[in-house]
Amino acid sequence: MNIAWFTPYQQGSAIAKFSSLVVPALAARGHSITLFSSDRQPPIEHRRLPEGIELLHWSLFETAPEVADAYDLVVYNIGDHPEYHFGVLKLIDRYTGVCIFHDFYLVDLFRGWCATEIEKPLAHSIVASIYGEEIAKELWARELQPDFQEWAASHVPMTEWVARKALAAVAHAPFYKQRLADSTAGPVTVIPLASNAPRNIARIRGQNGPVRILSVGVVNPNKRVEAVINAVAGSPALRNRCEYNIVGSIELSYRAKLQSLIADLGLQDAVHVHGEVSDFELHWRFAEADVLTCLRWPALEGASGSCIEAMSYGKAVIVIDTGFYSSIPSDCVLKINLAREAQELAQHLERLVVDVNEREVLGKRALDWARREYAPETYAQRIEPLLEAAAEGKPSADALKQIGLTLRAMGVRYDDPFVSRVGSEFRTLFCGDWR
Amino acid sequence: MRGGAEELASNLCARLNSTPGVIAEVLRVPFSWEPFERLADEIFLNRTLRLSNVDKAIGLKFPAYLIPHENKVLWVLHQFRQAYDLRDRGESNIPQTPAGEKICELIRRADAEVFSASHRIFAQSVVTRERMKRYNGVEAPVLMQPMNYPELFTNCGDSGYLFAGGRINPGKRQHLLVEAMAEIKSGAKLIVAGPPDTPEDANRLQEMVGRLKLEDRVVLDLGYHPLAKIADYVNHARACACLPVDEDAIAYVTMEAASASKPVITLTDSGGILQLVIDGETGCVASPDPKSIAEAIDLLCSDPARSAHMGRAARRLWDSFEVTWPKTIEKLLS
Amino acid sequence: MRLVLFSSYVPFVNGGGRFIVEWLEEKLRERGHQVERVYLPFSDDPKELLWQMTAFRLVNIDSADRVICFRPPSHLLQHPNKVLWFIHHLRGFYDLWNTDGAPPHTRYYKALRRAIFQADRVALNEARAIFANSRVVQKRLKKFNDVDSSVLYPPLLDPTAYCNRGYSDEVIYISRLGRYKRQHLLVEAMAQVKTAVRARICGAVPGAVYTKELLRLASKLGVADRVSIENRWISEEEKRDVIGRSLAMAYFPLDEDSYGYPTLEAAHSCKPLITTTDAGGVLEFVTHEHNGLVCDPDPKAVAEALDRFYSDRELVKTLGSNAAQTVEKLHINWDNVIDSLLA
Repeated sequence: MNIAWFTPYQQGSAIAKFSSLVVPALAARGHSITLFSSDRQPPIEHRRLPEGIELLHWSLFETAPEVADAYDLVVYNIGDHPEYHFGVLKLIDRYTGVCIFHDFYLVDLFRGWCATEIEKPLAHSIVASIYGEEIAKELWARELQPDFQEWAASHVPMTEWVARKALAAVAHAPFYKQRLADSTAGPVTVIPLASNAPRNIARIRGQNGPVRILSVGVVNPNKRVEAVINAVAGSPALRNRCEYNIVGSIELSYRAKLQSLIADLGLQDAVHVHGEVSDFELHWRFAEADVLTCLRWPALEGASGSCIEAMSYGKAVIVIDTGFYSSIPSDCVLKINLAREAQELAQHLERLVVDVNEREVLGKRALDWARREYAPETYAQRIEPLLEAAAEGKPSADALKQIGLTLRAMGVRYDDPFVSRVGSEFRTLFCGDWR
Repeated sequence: MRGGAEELASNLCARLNSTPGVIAEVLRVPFSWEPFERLADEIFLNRTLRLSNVDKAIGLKFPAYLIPHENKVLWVLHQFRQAYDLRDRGESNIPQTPAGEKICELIRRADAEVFSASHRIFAQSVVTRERMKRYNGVEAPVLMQPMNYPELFTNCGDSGYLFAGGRINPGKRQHLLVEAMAEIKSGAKLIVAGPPDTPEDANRLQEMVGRLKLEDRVVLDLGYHPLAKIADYVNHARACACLPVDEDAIAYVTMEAASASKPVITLTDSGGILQLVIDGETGCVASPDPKSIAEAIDLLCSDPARSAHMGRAARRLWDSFEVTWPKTIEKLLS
Repeated sequence: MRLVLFSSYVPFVNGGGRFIVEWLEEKLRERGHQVERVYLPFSDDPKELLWQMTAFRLVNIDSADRVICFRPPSHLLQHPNKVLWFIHHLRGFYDLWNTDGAPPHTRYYKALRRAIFQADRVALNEARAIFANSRVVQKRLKKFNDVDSSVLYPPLLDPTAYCNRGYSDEVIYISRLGRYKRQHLLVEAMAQVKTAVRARICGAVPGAVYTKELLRLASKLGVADRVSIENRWISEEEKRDVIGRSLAMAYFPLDEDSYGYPTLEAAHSCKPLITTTDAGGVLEFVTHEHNGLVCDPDPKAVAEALDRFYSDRELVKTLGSNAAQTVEKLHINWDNVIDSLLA
């Protein structure tokens, strides 16, 4: 198939990295793929291109629509970042495609889109049409409250908003599959996120060096680094034997807050905030780490790229038992309960700091699991049937869209029984029983 | 099912085909409106049909007039009245429930859209125009449907009788006319000629004539007659009668009478005919009861000069409407 | 029984697809049946197929006791007593899929094709009975849709109006003018005849480009004086007269999917047919040396057939008479049609 693969391709984007792994794997299966950057503006600095793959910009579909005709299928990578996925939102109504949901929480994407592209009444009615009038009102009322993200993730994640437009959908973990299936007319598959790890992992540790705890990823309260800092502070064993490195971009104000906390607890020698680092340094940090903490609350991503990376490096990883993390086998990572975060975190860290064997066993299991589950070749193999099914369903999807436009022009509400009757007549006629 | 709209469609098609440079076909779309929810299907269905190889489309009736075409003219006989005035009167199959209201809303919206999308809109009668204005806020000029053989109808003199032509059924109310004949004071005579819709309709009139002992003054010539014979009846009458209940358009019967310069008796609730029958000028407008009708009959049939005078006025008024096929087609195709 | 004849159409395009419906309507009425005809417009633009088909699926003709459906997608109608008299599929996706006339074979169109097949399968299996207008169509229904059907040949509206007024020296080809009808083959054959046989080509619908080609060809081959090419509209009466006086009818469309009305017109007039081995459905009617001559599709072979008829009038009479009887043998009559459709 000829595939147009829409993805952010800026240097800092994790999804760009994902695409750079999966696209060549798919190409190796005989497909012809062109990358389209979905970043609002063409990236000034973009990730290196896989060999033989061309990179174009999403705006070409607007300025030269005949370009779209060359492709059998469009694939859209969806995430919560408005700047990264701007092109997708601009095109998806006109060109339906397979959507890969890297995040299930799309509230920031929605709010970013509303800020410039649609009027408030329309935005309100979009939310209301999915979650009801009450929730829609609350969304705008709660915007500035501190618990907004937690509330939104459980009440109004906006996954459905994009899922409704999708020809077919991919989830990276089972926990949000149903949400997608309920909104997408086409097939939905769960595929564990692809990642890769360097083959040769040099073990960089001295015999008597500190036990290194590492957390990687954009640093914000969602990542619960403060919980780790407090755990270290509260345990003499950890205080004396650990070094906790916090790697990832961080806002100035939050950095100041953390530094202040670290100073108050007297942990300046043990806990270090590094900010964003180069690929090379990141690799080195992973290699030297003994324990990885990948704590999220609430889990907003489909799957955690950094957690998969940590497992791919064969490390002992501690996670909160939620979202994607719940789907990892319990003997490959240590899962803690949010309600008992402080105790369980301290317990696990204290034990791992002392027990080299447990670290190695855990790490090896994690590595074996990751190698099988998250290899890009595996992803490509798993997504291929979905792509085929999506291409097969495209003429029907186009016709249904046309019918939907007519129904809308008629003034029929989306929840009118007539809509489902027409849909069911259509499916009986054209789709057999694939659903 | 052949009704007025069907005949109009055939006639219009025939006339268009004899217009140089024009070929025409009639597209008849099946329409079922029961159960009322079905109306949504009909709207959707008609909006989804595609017309290719057509330069211009003339929409006559709901829901067929919803079929999209970029060069569409509407010549509306009436909309789906069950969603409008008939519903207000409680005579609709669409119930007064939220579901029924939703369907009416869909119909109103579909009509609004087709009215604004059409190149031009004409109403076939004043009644239709008023309805379209009142319910849909649309201003549409009136374009009446012409009769087919105007040249057959001319004034050939006055043989003294009152003539009532047209189909015979309860809605056309020939029975009221017959009843009125029992109350006249003059020596007027009535001839009723036309096809009864059912044998019962024929029997009813015959029975009435017998019961009221009107054999001396009422002639029933029931059955299908060639137009020439009808024209003969009209052309030699002193006056004509046409008294349907609530009909939108001016009936052919009335047009024929006016063409032959005959005054017409009609009733206050007959509908569109009242555009042509002005009480005291081109005919008489009576109340729908036998006594009032009898008075009108006496008035028109007892004085030949007055009838002739009013008949000429009727003809002048009719001519002023300029309801001819060439003029009508010109307007439709402009 | 209240009957409705339901078909799709393109406004102002007339042809076999409409005659079969309108003639049946007339014949049913003659026999006292209550019948109405419903045509709904349909455009075969591939991008608009599926939703138009959905519209047809929603049509309601429940007021009829039985509906007979003809041209697709009328067969999608939902009705408890649906009878199909199948004339052709959406040919670009079926029998013409592997020809120039088909949509491009991209993944999209292949998927569209499968969706159409799926819909057809559903609709065909709902029918109370399926009739095909030829064995060619019957085979296609079996091959593509795995559906059984009976062959029901469409008769002419008024067969008795055709007559035999003797055999002149002229072989005629009366049919729509077009490359697939191959009137040019007759012109080429006339350049190779050895007898004084003449030919007349009449087009019911003038095709300007092709007509010019024919005229040029006739002139180039030096046969313009023996081949008359008339691209004018010809009345029914004149047509019957021309056929009635002719020697024989030439009719060799390329791979036609039924025998075609010209075949019947000739047969009712007791004229034998000259056709070719690749004329498709015509060969369901014409058997070589029984009721016509079937030759290879080249000018020499056709010329031989022309000459043979010119020289052997007894053969012409015999084959012509057999052709008239073939109509009986194949039960090509309205009684059979109506009995079958109303069974």
